[in-house]
Amino acid sequence: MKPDEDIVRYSVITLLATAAASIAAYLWILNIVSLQRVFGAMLGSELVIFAMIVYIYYKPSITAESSNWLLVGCLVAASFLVVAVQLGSA
Amino acid sequence: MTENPGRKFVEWFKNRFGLKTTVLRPVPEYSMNPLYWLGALTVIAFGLQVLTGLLMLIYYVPTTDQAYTSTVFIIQQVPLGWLLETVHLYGAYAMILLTFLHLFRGYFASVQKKPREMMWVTGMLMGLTVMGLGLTGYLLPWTVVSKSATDVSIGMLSFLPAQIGPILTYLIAGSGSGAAELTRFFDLHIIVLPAGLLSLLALKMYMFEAHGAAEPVGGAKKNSKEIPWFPRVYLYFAMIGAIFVAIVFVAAAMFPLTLPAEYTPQAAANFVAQPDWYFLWMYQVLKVQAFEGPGIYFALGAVTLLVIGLALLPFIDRGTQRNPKSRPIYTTIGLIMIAELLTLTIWGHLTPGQVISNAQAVIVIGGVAIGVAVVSLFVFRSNLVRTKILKIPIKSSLSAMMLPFRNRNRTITMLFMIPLIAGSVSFANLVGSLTTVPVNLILAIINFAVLFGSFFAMARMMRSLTLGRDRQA
Repeated sequence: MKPDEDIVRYSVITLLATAAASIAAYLWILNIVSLQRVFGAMLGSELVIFAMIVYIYYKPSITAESSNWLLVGCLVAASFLVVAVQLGSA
Repeated sequence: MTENPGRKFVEWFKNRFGLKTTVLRPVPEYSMNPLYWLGALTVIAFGLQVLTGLLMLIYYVPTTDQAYTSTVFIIQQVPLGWLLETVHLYGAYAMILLTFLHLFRGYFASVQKKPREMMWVTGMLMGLTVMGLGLTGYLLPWTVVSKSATDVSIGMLSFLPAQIGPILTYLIAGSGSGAAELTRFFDLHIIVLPAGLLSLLALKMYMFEAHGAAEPVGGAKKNSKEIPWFPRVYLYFAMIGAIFVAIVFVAAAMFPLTLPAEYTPQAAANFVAQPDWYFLWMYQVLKVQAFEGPGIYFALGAVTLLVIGLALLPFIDRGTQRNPKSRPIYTTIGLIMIAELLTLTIWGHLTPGQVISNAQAVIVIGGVAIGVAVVSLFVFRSNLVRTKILKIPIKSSLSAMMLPFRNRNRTITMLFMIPLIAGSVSFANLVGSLTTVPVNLILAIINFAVLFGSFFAMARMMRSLTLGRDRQA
């Protein structure tokens, strides 16, 4: 059965918003004196997730092209998070 | 049925802020492309600079004895201070890079054509202001690197002709003391130049509202839709802006700023002065042997003429063609400018403090220009870009070049070799006579005449061989 497009859209937005909120909460409790580099990388990831949420609103219908861009966005946001983790453990 | 509360809020927002009565004009659909938003990204970078700069101003003290220590305090003691400093630095670099990209994108897309001439001139002034912001901001941490580089830049200004040099030097550097220089640079960086940039931005946006975005070089599609600013264009702007700021932050996190040593005359004496990367191309030109002493006037004059020429481009390039494929000369000049900028910047980075000999300068700068011009000519004359430049029915310049060597008549090949050898020898002599001090002008003129004659003879032979081949075909 083909899922309803609206359900997919709202599911993706909810997932992205949850990720953004989690990162924001972590940034709030982060030690911003000793972990400034982590803060910078996580803020970058947060902004990419924000851009993806905006992109979903900007492109109301999900096409092959937009899903590719979303995949690229997820990969970039994830790699920024990996950088943050790496910088935090260095 | 009750109205969606989200939609209701958006409608209230649009009404109360007057967004329904077009604060910003709707934009055409073709402009929803990141290349059309390089200028807007530069504005976002400026916004980032203002925000980070204002936060740093809380702690920064613009005096020679406290500038460095207050910068160290921001980096080491202030929460997120180090990140602020690094983001401010990389934001400045991004702003300068975007300014150059915006300039060259506009150049190749011919956005300066009627009716956008004054938008181009205003944009050029904004570009110079951005460079000024970079120059003035670089000094503020008062490190040995920044002070030495700024002294080099001020030294260059003092060579400007007549009274311009001394007046300009006094205005921006004062009596020559470090304290006067720092205070003036600080004022310029946080008040004068940002105010100038904002005024020019307002002027450019006013003109943009009147003329809109330039059509694509291939022309706009028929029935191209116009998209209202709120909410779609606004969302697009927010999206690309967020990605840009994310890149700056992650770059700052990955490549942290390390502050060089504090400026002292003793430390500066042991340091090779070098301007920041965006001025390196100009500095590399000034390091050429021929431009030392009084020759610097010629170098500064040439750079000034280049900038003035670019600023007045809309009044020089009066043709109606906008497609770079139909503008071989301007496209080639643009490509040469990019190649020279990159070459001189990388070369400058690799040769700090070294004087460049005239022969090296002629070979590298001239070689890059000739190389790019030849490649561009080949591309334009080959089947890659179907444009008739000289109206000679040559299908491919490459095949034309090979014809003298690919025919059964050896006499033709031998005859072709004479101007080829004469041309090569005269080119080498020309370089030699121009780079020897004193310049042997008569020898240079003779060599240039032989070189020109050789090229002409070779071109005629290739033309007649191609015509003969085409007739046979």
